Amino acid sequence: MGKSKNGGSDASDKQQPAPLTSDSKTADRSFAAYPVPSKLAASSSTPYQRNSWLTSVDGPAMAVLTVLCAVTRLYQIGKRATVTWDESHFGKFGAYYLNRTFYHDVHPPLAKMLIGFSEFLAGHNGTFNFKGDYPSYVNYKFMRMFTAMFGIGLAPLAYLTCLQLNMSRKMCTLAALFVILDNGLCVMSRFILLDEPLLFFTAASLCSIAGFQNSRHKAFSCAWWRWLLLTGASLGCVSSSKWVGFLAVALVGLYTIEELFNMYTEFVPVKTVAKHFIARVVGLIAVPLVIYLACFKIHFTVLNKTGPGDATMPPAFQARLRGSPLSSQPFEIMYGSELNLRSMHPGSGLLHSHPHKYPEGSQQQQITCYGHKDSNNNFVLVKPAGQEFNYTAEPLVAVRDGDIVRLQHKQTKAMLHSHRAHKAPITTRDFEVTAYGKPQWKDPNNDWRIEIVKEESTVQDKNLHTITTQFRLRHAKIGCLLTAAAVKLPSWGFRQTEVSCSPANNLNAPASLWVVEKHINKRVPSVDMRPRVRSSFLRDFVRLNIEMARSNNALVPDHDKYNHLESGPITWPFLVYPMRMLGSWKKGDIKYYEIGNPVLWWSSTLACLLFPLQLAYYAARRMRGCSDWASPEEELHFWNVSKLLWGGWALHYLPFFLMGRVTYIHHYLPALYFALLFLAFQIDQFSKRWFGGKLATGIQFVWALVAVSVFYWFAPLTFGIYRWLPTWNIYKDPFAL
Amino acid sequence: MVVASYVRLWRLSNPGNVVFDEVHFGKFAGKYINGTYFFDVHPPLAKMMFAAAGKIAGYDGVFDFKSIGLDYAAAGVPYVGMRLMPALLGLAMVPITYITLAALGHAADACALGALVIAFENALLTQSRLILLDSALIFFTGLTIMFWALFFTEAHRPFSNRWWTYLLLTGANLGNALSCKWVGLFLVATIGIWTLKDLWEKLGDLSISPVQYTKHFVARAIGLIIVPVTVYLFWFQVHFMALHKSGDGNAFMSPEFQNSLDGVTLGHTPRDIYYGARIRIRHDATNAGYLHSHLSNYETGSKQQQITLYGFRDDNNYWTITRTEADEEKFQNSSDPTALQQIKDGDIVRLMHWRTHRRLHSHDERPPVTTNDYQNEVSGYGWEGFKGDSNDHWRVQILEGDSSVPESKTKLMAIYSKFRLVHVNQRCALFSNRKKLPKWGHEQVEVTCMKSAKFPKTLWRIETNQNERTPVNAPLAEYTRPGLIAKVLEATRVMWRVNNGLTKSHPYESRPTTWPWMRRGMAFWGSGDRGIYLMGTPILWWTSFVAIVAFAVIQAVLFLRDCRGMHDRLLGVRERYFESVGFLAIGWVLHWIPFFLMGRQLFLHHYLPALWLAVCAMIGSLDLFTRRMSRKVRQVLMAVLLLLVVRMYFQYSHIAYGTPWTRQGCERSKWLGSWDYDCKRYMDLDVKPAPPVPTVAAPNLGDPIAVTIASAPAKNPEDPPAAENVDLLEHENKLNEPAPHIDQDRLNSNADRLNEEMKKASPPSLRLPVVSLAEQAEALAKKLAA
Repeated sequence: MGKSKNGGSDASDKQQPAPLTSDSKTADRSFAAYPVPSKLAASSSTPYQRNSWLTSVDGPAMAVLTVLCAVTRLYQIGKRATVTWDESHFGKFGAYYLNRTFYHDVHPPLAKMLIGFSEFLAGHNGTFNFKGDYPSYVNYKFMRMFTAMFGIGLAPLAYLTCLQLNMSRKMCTLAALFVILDNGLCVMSRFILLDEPLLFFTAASLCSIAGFQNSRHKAFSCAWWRWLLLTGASLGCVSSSKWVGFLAVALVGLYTIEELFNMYTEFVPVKTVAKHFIARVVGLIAVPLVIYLACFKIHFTVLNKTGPGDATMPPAFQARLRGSPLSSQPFEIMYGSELNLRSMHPGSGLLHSHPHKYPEGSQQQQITCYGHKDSNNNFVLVKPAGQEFNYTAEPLVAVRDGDIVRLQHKQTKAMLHSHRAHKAPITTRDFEVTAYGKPQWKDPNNDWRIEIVKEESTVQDKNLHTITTQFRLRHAKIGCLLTAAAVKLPSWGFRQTEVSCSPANNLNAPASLWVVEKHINKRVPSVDMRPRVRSSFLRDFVRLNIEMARSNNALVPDHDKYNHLESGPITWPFLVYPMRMLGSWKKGDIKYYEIGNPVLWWSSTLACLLFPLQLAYYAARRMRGCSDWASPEEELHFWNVSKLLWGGWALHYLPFFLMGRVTYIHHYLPALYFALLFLAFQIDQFSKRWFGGKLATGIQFVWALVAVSVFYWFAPLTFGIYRWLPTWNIYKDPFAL
Repeated sequence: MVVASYVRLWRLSNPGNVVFDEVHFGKFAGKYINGTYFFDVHPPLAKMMFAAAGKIAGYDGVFDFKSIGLDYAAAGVPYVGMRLMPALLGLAMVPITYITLAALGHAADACALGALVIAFENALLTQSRLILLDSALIFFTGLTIMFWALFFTEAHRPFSNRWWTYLLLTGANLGNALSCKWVGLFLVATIGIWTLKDLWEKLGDLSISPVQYTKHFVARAIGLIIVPVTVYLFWFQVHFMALHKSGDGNAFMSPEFQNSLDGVTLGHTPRDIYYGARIRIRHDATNAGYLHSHLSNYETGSKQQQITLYGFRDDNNYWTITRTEADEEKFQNSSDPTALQQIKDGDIVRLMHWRTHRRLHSHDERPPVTTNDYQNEVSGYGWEGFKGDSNDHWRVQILEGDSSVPESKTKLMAIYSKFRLVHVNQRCALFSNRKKLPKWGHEQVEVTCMKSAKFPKTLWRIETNQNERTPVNAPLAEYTRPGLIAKVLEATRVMWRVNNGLTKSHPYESRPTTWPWMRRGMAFWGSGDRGIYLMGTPILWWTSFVAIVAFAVIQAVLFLRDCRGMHDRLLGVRERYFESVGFLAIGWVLHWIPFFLMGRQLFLHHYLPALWLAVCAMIGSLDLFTRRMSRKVRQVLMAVLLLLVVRMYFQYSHIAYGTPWTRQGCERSKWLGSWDYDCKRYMDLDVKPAPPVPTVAAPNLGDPIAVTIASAPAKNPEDPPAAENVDLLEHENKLNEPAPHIDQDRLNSNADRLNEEMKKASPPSLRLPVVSLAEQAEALAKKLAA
């Protein structure tokens, strides 16, 4: 917490701000007035502008809170020596960084790399695949403790944040207590998961933006820059942990827009506004972006061996992975070669056929695109019918741009075929593509023209090459282009991708571009592909992000099926469907139950739901010329705190309603963090406004006591002893048949 | 007005064929006249207006508007009368525009200009000449905006008679617009936002006391909430009264709803279900029909007999509900083996298909369509005399009962009990999700057994209960008759669901982004050397869009300057500009932006209400910004605009009215390459007159699209298939239509044979009387009378 101390000394320098008019002509000076009304600038001792905010009390207070939090998070952390909850995913992903094989997941890499780092520290060699019980050589306790540290960090961060928001120390303590005493946050901090880093970086973003807000009167000072850069760094980390982190980015973005706009309306000179703007571009856009990119750079650098995630990336990337079958292949494609063709459209896959017919249209054999690699993806490139050619004896002939060729499916011997007579099953503006006919038939509907679009290797000889040549396949008779645009076929097509022949002639659409991913020809010597394929970090980065988004969107639930893990966002704040964190729920098992502290959840929800009404009430009162505030500073303080806390809650909660993918109750935890802090603030507001004095303190104390006892009541989450709502499936699942 | 009448009514009889969506709306008018219930995705008012117009003109409801291109004259349909209705409504837009602009505080010359350009606007013109709903929608939208503007002219005399009149008329027309198409909701939003703004400003006006403020609030709540809702309900009431007979729309609705139509008698069946009863089971959530089986097998999985949902009542929907084998034995050995035993919650039962003697069966096989691993296939298995196996066992789990008969929660009762059938071995529940089986399944709806299913789609109800041993005075069960509100809610729900399902692509659909600059029109109809293509007057579309953008930019600049303490007066018209053009621009935004959120297919004509608002905004801006200019300049500007509009009206009138044109004129008029009306159909001036175009339609090919194509001289694949509802309802109708009939005779004869055999073989306690349906109904009627 060294930074905080510095912040304190900075602040004390400004103990006696000079009156506005007498300031010298520095850039800072003109901005010193913003946004505190000029009355306020003269007296620094108002309770809403704490100048020296870290006193001797705060250090010990934070230490005590941290210890308390650590006790709740670490108590019996290793009790269940079995892979628990999503440890099976994230522990495994962490291990990939140790054995350096390339994998695919929907989340950005930072948090998983941290887990990998903890596994490295714990001495794991990357061989355990996180299924079943932990073997003796895996120090799972250390790994859990490592991620739990992020969870523990929430408590001092909450205290510090409230301090930065100029709440009283009592309230800071209460807020931190709420964070410590929430069973939901607690149980999610006890395993090897991404949630702890996510929560920690979210809290860090909030803390640093609050600090930034608090230092707004010292623009461009050291403390100001430090908070700005810390905000940027936290935002970079949070969005590199999970994409939910972009919601924190949105919060800071909106805050910044409001701040700049206020400056504009406060008559700050345009030049100064521009300086502020540029500083924020650097701190809040450039810094996070660099961190996000750096995480992916490390990800690509560490994971340099072939692994389970290969197939999601383009062949040029795969060929560069060590041990990949694609890295050593024949380069020059000849007639008679056996090829796997990949569509350049993300998510389409490899050209595929299988002995199943279309149920409609021509009812000929299906042609699809399929992500998995198997022998049904092999097509032999042959000459058009009538051109006799002995592919095993005659000298090899290279395939050139403009050649007319046929593609024969290796397993079924049928030819890649299209015809005008039938429309494609889903994309009805295109023609159907089938596998049809015998090699000796002179059917012009089997002929395709090769049109080379781009050659990425240095060999620019207009010949077709493995991986490096992007080309189109144009139907020689109809003139349409072979297209696979990641459109899924129904169950008769095994939900593989539809392949059609598009007459639209979109020359550069990736869906109509193909590359040879794998090339088999015994007569052509294999060469090392790695120096021939082009590598571009940015291209891989963009592609991987697209694939992550695609996998993420594919996680769509069946709305008719009851799944005891899933719950809709509308149910979260009311804690309707807590979640069993184990698959088996038998008597005698050690069980973990993701249930929050109901009192805290319900009261924080109430506080958040009341806020819009509160705002409307104050606005309407103001329209009628009534004021509810003792001073403009009090009102400003109310707005400054609630916009960050309530805004953070709303931004971390409401977007889930728009998401099509499956949602779980722990998706609410970041929003809950904001809600808990906001709850402390609202308790403060209400008790002061209505009761004041000792009674207010009493209420706050009672609240803390209730939170403690409820936490204690639910503390044996592992055993589950009571339920308050009939939908809590601790004992019996109401939907079980 | 004279000019406008001429422009709008000229050659209304052309073309004398069914054009575009007249297919639907003409047909619906006929249904009103016949009184048979139908289903459509739009609320009823506009359609009822067509029905009224048709009735007055003498349409008898016989002609069925089956496909685009059918000849009206030949069928003796008074289509001119029917088209006159929207044309007159379109005509009324001319004075409405004038009054609206005047009420918004614009000068008389600007109002006249606005009225004239609206009269000459080609898209509004084309749309209002055909039997389409949009004309009525635009008319009511215009009326609402007009009365709302007039309401504000009375703002200084609140609660006066006129003030009330305008407020209530606004509300009534809001209700009317909403009863034409749900696009009226955007109008509700427009008026709502402006009301909130107005009330907010009044809140700041300290001269208004709290009591007075409450009066203002209540008045608006009455005028703008209660009145529109009442009007909406009123039109639905008229709709339900007009459509009192059962018709092809039945299948969309719940049995309760159907029960309120003439000619439908659902229910009226003995209430208590005893073992041995012959029952018909309806799937509760989807209205897709009854649990059904027939003598065809699955082509996948177990290849056993199919179990489906079927929407129509036939004998293949009958199931006999019996005990399990062990229970039956126990029962036979009990003291009174002939006693009637009622089925209770938790009982384990077996269901035997009455015709084919297969038992409802499930096992660890994947269903044909829904192949998820938590779904099991449901089949009919067994043969006559087969004792059955444990995979035929289903547990009855009653989840909901009827509040009027509390026992229906514990004892199985026809109609009242909503229950699940839980397969005992597989622990899955009988389920259906409106998925259709392939051709071999006769395109009926798939039934599966789903593990961990949520409740709604696993709920079933017994609709028919036949048992010869039912005591004479046994209580009967019947569906409740829903009240108006329940009916409207249900109709609204179904409309919403079907509306959202309209996602198929259509050759002339367009996304909202392309509307303001009119990237592409829509071909409505084409035949010979004439064609109708919906396209606006380009200059009006473009300038009106520019006017809106200009408003937004000017307001933004003014706001930013205000923030820095620079308060512009904007030639002294700033307040008026915001109150008038601002209102119209917000209306425009609310009639345009929400379309972006819609996943369903959209068409250019959805933009027309927004276009009218935009044109008014444009004329308003023109008026305000030319006030300080000299009279002459102002008049010249206005004249130029009018001349341009009229010039373009003439240029594009050929495709609006469907009159012959020349190929050169047509080609010249294509300013954007994406305007894809067909110029090849027109006569080429450079070429000698072509041989006479065949005017007789080619033989009907059975396909509505094919008919239009066949009658065009050159084969033109771009001719539109009937838009909107065809595609939309196709899916739904197919679901509800009698699925292509399987060889019922064969099945029935087979079943009859089996039935005979069963009668001979089955033990007396299980034997069922083969009472014909008519007899049964008669008996029931007698019972009822008693």
